[in-house]
Parts: sequence; C-alpha cells; structure tokens
Amino acid sequence: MSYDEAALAAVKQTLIDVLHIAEERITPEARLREDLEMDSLDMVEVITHVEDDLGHSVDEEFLTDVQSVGDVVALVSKLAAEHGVDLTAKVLS
Amino acid sequence: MREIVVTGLGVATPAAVGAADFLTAQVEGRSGITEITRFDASGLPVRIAGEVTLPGELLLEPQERNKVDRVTQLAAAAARLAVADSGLEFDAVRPGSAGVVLGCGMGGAETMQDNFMAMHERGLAAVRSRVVPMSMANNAASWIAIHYGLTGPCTTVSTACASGGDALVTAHQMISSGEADIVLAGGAEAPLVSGVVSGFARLKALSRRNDTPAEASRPFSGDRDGFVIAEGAAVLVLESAEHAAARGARVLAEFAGYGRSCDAFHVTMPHPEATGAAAALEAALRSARLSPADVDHINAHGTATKFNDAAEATAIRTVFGTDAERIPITATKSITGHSLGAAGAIEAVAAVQAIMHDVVPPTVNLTGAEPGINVVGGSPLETKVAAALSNSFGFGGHNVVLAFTRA
Repeated sequence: MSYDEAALAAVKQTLIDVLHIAEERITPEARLREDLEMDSLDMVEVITHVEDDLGHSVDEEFLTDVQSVGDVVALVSKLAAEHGVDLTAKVLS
Repeated sequence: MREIVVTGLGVATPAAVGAADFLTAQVEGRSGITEITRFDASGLPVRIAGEVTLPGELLLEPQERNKVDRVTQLAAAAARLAVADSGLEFDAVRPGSAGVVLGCGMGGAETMQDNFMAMHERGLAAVRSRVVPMSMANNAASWIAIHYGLTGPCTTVSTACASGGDALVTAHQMISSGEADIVLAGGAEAPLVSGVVSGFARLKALSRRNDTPAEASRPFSGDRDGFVIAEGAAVLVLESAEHAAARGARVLAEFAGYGRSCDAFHVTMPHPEATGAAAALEAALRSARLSPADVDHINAHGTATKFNDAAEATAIRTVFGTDAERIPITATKSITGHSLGAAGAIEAVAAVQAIMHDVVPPTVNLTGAEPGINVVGGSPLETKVAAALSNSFGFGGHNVVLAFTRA
C-alpha cells in the first residue's frame, strides 16, 4: 500500500470514527466545510488524531490550504513519509 | 413593568415528550421511572432512574449529535418543541431582541466522565479536543442561540435543583427590563452517568426501591425514602405581552411574578423551619399581587426526600395558614423523577398546563401525606386554576417560587 492509499484509509477511518460522518460521503474530492459540514473544531479533532498517529505535531501553517479530504490525505501522506511512519501499521481511532 | 406571557411549551421528560402527551401522563399518573439502561448500574445501590426516550424526529443527526453532550440533545428537543408550539418565526423578529436562558446543574456530565475515564485508562490521546465545549454548563443555551440565530442575551444559571426556576426568573427580568422581547427559557439536565448517580446514592438522597421503579418516587408520602434521579429538559417561550399581541400569538398564561431567597444555612439540608422557602413564597405572592386566598394550586418541589418535603410543607403552612388545607398541591416528580436543573422548568410547564386546562394532576404513590396541606392523590382534580405557584429548592439553599396566572 502506498503512502497515499494508507493515508486515505486512515483519514477516512478518523472521519467515520471521530466525527461520525457517513462513509459514503467521504471521497477525496469532498470539501470539508461545504460537503462534510465540518467546522474548525472538527478540524482540530482530526488533526489531534493525525498527530497522535504520526507521533509528531502538525504545524498550523500546513492547515491553511487544507480544503478537501484529498488535501488532508496529501498532508498526512507527506508527513508520514517525512517522519518515516508506516500508516498501515497504525490504527487511527 | 412589562407583562410577561407564556406562548410556547416544550418538554422532554421520562414520563412523556411534548406538551400534549406530558399533560396526559400527568393526568393519568403515568410514571416514567424504570431500571437504568443508559449505563450498567448493576453494581450500584441505586439502579432506577427516569430516562427520556426521544422520538426519531427530535434526535439530532449522528454527525451533529456526536458534537454535543446528552444534555444539549435534550435541550435541543425541548427548544424545538417550544418554538413549534409558539408559532414563532425568528426571521420576523427584530435582531438582538430574542435571547436564551437555561438552568443546568451538572453540565455535560457524560462527556466529562467518559473522557476522564478514557484518559485514566488510555492516556492523553483518548481525550477529545471537544471535551471542554461539550461539557461546559452553557453549551445547551449556546446551541439553541446558534441554531436559531438568536443574538440577544444568552446565559445559563446554575443553582442545582432550583436552576430551571432561576432561569425563568432571569428571563422574566430580561424581558421586564426591556433587554429582550422574547426569551427561550428553561432547563436541561442529563445526570445519568455512574459517577453522578453514585454521588447522589452515597449522599443517601436517592430511593432504593430498585424492584418497584414506578412506585419509587413518593413525594409527601410517609414512607418516602429519597428522590429518583432523572434526565429531562423543558423550554418555555416567554414574550412581552405587547410582542405576543403584535404577532397574534396564542397566550397560554401570564408569568405574573416570582420570589427568591437563600437559606444561608446548609449546603444540602433545608432549614428545619423553612424560613427561606417561606420567604420566597411570600415574595412571589407580593410580586404577582396575589393574596393566599387567590392561589388555586401549588406545584410543589416535592422531591420525596424526608427533609425536603417536610420543610416544604412547613413553608406552605407558614405562608398560607388555613388556606394551606384548601390549596390543591401536586408533585410532578412522582412521575418524572427529579431532573435537577431541568425540574423547575418542567414543573413550570405543568403549572401553566394546570391553568390552561383547569386540572390538578395527582401525585402518584401517595400514602399518608404531610399534615395540614392538601396533596392531591389518586385521581386528577378538576377545579378552576386561575393562579398557580411552582416551587423549586436547590442544594446550596436556593429557593425559587414562580407565579403564573390566567392571561
């Protein structure tokens, strides 16, 4: 599994488990605010889980351009690669 | 001073959800007390409570429900019912003229317990970043303001079991001072988590009639053994009389006045001579310009603890003298249990309904009432109710009495 595939699976699971978003709504194209009705606190919940999973904190400056599920996946994938974290071995909860 | 009227009722209680069904439950004496199902209470000394069953249309969507504590879900249901009952269209309301006041004793107890337990077991990563906004006591009032876009004053009062009554007083003051024209006012509580139930049980405040839940809440009975803890919420739409008239609203009753005091005596024990409760009753009569002879009904605080009910009976005898033997009293908690910060608001709804329908519902499970007062047991009493009082007394010594009259 590539970093992107693993990141998509992990982000999807976080959105389902933590935010109770219906699975069929979560696509890479889905916009966080407009399509998934996420607010800033939802974003904080997702990021704290990403941080726990990566074992590293995420700089707020990385979040300014995050608009869609695909953007979150790209961010998680990039950070996982940078830190050498194997997301497939992790279970985001 | 501006007249304040009630134009909408919304209730979510263990006995019934919605004003119409709540009235039926009261008149029929239908108890909402059951074995606890919201958590595993099998190891606790108290295994009964009043749980609310919300119909599907009043449940928030899963994604929204996940962002709020149970207490906000209950408040949201009561607010939706009240607003629908009032016929209010907030789009037509002057910006900033509508507010919210809720009473809440415990805040988001389930959220706090779940997160703190999870942190103890699994560490920091188990704590949701939403735990503070979800559990703060003012979350429910804030949710209602956000949901309806109400930009007038929005606040939360916390005076334990008097919170719901105190919230209505605050709303009365907001409208009479001109700060708001409309206030969604009430109370909400969701205390059915093991930590809170255990705390009240350890305080020896709760009935232990675990095997007969529907018979456990016995206000004013000689064999009462404590209250039955419950969740619940109620919201009343309060408006200035002019505002209600201008929009052609259906007026259910006038919120004619209130009285308040503090025992300043003990954190949980009522004053044995009930001087504080009596002072609040007297203040309510003065505020509403009623004499004891004018009072047709009292909705008692009536928790079914040994000390509360005795003190409340003393206060009523002190203030009403011989009229105490005449005035029909009921204790709604006999069917709803005691929903702490929501109780005063739920019972305000009951008092308004007594006026609307000229009926005093029975106190169920009544055997051998306190002497010198007229607690209605058995069947509902059909009688003229043009003026009704509703009592709420809380840990901390808070005494609140609301006065409602026929509009």
